[in-house]
Amino acid sequence: MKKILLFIFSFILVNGCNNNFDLKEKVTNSNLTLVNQDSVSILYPEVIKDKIAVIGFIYTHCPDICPMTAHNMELAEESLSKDELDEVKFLLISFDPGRDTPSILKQYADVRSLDMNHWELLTGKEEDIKMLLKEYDVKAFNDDTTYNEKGEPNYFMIHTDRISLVDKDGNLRKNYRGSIASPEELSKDIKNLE
Amino acid sequence: MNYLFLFYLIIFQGRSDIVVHNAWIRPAPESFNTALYCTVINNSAETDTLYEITSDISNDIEMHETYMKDNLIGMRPVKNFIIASHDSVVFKPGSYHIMIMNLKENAAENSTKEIKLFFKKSGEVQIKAIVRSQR
Repeated sequence: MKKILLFIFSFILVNGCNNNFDLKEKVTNSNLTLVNQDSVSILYPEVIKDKIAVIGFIYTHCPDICPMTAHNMELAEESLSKDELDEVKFLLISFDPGRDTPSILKQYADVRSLDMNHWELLTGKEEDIKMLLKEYDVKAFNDDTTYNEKGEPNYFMIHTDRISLVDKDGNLRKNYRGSIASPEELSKDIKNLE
Repeated sequence: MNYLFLFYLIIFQGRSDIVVHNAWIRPAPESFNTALYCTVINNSAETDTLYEITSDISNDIEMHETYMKDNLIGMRPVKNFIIASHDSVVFKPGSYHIMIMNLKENAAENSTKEIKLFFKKSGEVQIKAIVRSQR
């Protein structure tokens, strides 16, 4: 009887701890060359190797939802200690690479005073970004496009609202709705992966 | 009688039927898009309609709503907001928002920006919005 109770207790304990993470899917299958906010080439998945990665998918023309996603990631970052932060990489990946050039991403980071020791904002060739989005099952489509007097396109996007959490082995462990993600939950999950 | 009139002026001068609370703008660099959030209260005895918003900081300001469809999120313009008497409309993150496109100047943290809201009955209402990060 004691053995059965011990087994049940252990089962609940182990599964209770793991229940926090509903996913374990490899998301490092593609080797891609991306570009960061400083126009430096960044290799994926090298950029997240041996790190817990918190990845937000955004486009900088978005005034409402995407800034909320970045904000929730910032709040999670604030709640981590320096030692904990050393284990984590925060990535913002643009799904609008045509407009989100490195200099635009740099301004996006500067206005938020992001700590670039822990953050990387990434853009790249359209085909590479598409590959990366497929890896994370993130969708993004242009809405109706209009052109300004300079002939520049103006459009908004319909997209997945997403923050993804990846463990140090390159496994996707959890997806959050980026704009309404709980920074406390995200922070707790990061700590559980460390 | 003159005293009464003076009293009326002191109490009611500048009191608008439209009150705008907690107006704030997300910080953003020049040429970027950003959003204005606020609560608009209609204290008048009649329904009013908010139909236009302008500012010197942009030539292109629209009222938008965020929507979700098939697990994807997007935005679309809202032509106007009909606000019933003693009712309000709330522009807030992830919901209705006032989209400020292609900023003509930086919207720097702690600066203030002048915005004009136009109503069918109450006319023009000027407000100042503070630029600050989301709380």
